[in-house]
Amino acid sequence: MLSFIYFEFKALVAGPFTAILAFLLLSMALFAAYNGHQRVAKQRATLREVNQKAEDFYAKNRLLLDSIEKGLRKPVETWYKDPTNPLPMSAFRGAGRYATLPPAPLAVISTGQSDIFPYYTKVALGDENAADDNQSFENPFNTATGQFDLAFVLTFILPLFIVALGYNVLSAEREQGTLLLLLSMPINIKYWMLHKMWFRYGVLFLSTVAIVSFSLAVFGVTLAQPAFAWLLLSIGLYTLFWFGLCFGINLLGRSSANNALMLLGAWLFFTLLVPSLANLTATALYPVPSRVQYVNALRAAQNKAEQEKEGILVAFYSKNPRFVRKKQEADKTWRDWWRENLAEGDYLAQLTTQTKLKFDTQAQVQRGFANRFRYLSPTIMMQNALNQLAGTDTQTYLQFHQRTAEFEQRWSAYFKAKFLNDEKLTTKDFERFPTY
Amino acid sequence: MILHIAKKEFTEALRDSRFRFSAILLLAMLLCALLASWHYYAQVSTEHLEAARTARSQWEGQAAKNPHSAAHFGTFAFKPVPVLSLIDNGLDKYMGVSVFLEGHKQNLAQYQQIADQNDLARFAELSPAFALIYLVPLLIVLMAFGVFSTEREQGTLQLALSQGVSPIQLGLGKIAGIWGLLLSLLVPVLGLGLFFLLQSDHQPDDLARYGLMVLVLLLYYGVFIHVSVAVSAWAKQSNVALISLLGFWAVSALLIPRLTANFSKQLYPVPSALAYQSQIKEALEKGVDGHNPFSERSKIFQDSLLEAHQVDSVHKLPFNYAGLIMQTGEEHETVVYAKAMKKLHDIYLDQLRVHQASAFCSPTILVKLLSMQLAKTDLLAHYEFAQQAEKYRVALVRDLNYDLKDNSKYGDWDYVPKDKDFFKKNIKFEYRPTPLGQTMPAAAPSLLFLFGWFGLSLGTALWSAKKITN
Repeated sequence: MLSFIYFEFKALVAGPFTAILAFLLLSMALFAAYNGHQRVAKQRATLREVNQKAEDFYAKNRLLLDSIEKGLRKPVETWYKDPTNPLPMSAFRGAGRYATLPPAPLAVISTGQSDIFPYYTKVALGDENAADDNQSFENPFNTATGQFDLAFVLTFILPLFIVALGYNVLSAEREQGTLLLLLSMPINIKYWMLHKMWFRYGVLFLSTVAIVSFSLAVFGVTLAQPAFAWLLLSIGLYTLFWFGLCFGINLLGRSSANNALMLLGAWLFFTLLVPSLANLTATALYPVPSRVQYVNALRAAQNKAEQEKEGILVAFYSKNPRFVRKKQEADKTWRDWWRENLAEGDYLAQLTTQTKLKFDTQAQVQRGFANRFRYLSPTIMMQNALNQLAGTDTQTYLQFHQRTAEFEQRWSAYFKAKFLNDEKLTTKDFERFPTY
Repeated sequence: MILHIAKKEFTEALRDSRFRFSAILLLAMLLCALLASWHYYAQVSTEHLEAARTARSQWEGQAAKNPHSAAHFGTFAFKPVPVLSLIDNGLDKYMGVSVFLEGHKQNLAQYQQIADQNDLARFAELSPAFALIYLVPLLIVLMAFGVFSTEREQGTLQLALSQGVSPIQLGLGKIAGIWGLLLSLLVPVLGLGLFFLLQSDHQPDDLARYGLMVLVLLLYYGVFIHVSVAVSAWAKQSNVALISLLGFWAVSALLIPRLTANFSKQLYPVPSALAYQSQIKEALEKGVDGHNPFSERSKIFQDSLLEAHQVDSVHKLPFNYAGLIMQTGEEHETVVYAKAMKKLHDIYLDQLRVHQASAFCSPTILVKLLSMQLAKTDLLAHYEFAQQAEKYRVALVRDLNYDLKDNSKYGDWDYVPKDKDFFKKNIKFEYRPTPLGQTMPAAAPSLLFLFGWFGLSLGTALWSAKKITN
């Protein structure tokens, strides 16, 4: 057995082929890890920046309020700059807090959907994206092309290397004429091949693990974490699948060229054909409702709210008799204006909730359907697993969006109540503001 | 002689079950893709037309209000779907479909379809362009990897050469044979594409665009045929030829585009949304703000105006000052946003030039760029749409502000236009598609590169054939 390993190893390292593959894999992994590192560093810096922005705003106003409470400064006259006023502290002019999605510990490995979905958003009273400052400005051509990340190297490139290492394990022996020699020895050829395959699998798996660990460690990723163990397991299983396929195809006993063709056909099938056909089926069977119609529907709701303004206000004032409605526009103070504005906003939100829900549900149905196809392709499963480990899968972003919506509700409810009760904010309230 | 060799290649390939299987599979996929994308195009283009009509009627039907409030209420421009997107939908899914047009600012297009779609859309999308650009070359490799190497292995190469045929003739014959095979497969598909195009609401230059797309694809296929023949002539064994050619495909279609995407980002980084906004904010503060008459700039503007009209208060001006200062602010804002947008777009163009430069090791990038340019589903076409929407927004907001200025009194914010049909008479948005004459200068370098690839690869193929040995 030992001599077998020894000869196999010698055969493997004899030509420049193995060394070239290893070198290619290492340089690709390093470049991919570098790209991932850049992306994650940018994400961290951006999150620090937005949090700091909100922090500064509230620190400044808290300080001002503190001086006012201690009688060191006069109260602020202008209502929209007044730190005791719940509206300017929650709704506009820089007020609001950011909901943020920090990168997962293994975020470096996969870009996933992070180039499409925002990872921070400013929540203000009645607004989930108050600053409108979280679009991705990356070139759509680059986004559409895809990123050169570790997930790409592992899911797309690595199988090609495995095919290159394993397509002719048996057929080459036949073509070189050494198969007859082997058959004349007292060994079972299938076992012999299985050993050979296991050996190659072991070498490839260990080198991949070494290369990936090294690339990640170079860019400061902690390896001592459960997610990393899952990453290794995923790599182990995924590479095993491809070696298994090579083994099976070699057993068919065709020529090397034929084996290569079949294996590359399989690669094409799993990486491109299954995903694209599944996507086509999912979009044909469960089309996502059109966004242009969605835009129109939201606008129609806005028009409706505008037309029913009178009814909304009558209802509001009869429900809240403590407020008196002023007939003349000119007599209205900012309080009157905001009360009415918020009442209209509530009505509009009611109208649009249905539209939004319908849209989200239909999109979710399509995702669910497409997701069932993953069992047809190990490549899809691998990509999904890596996205999940990196925290860049669609579900993570949808959950983030969901939590943001909940946070907006809490935030708005807190300040709206204060405003409608004519309460003044105190420095103690500043500690109690809802947080994400 | 060449014809004989071509015929031999043709018949032999037809007998090969691997080829038959792959060709039928590819044809089926192409047909599926074409039908699906035709269906999709028909649906989406109707939706967009309807949406544009609805947006207009919503604008016209809005409650009577102050024209400047109407500017804040705003309207939408929807990006029309170009008919050639049924062949190549390019970047359409990665760019927003609607632009909100309002006073004071130029908004970016919203709602990328890719964010609403299932995750598999990120792998690959089975569009006709995907099949034509990525899968057809694989079929070519399958047809061509053995043209010389298999004959060498079987010993028939020596036989053929001993018959007195010149190696160049042999090479040309093989190339012609593969072309014959390829065209017999593709002509029906391309014809069907043309049929769909004629059935749809196409622009006059769309046919020329389609013709150019076909030309680009044929040049590209030529490159793959030539490279395959050359490699087959050099390779000692068929499997080596096959593996090398598939390697070439993987590098050209898969590796280089992604590598370049990351390189282009490193070389020409785009600003973050935060940086973009703070830059705009800074620039905005340097001009008049229509909503803040107390700012320094507004004061200077006001004083110069009062002096020019020889009055001492804005109330005494012969028009509503509020309308004028809104418009003055608007004009400053327009320039600020246009500059920011242009700057961003220029970075995109720089990045695309990096992609173009990487074409020396990837003909696939060239075809991708050219095909979406010709289909009007590229960045330039989107930018052109955004520009037109912006131009419309500027004109609309100007009309609204001028109505305020000319027909109302200073301080009268309750003013509504007397004409009940005021909003109906506002200017309408009409999108003019990018003419071919505008696309060509941008496409020319890529096209030239592609011709270069074609010529060089042909030369290499013939040279390799000439050098052929047993």
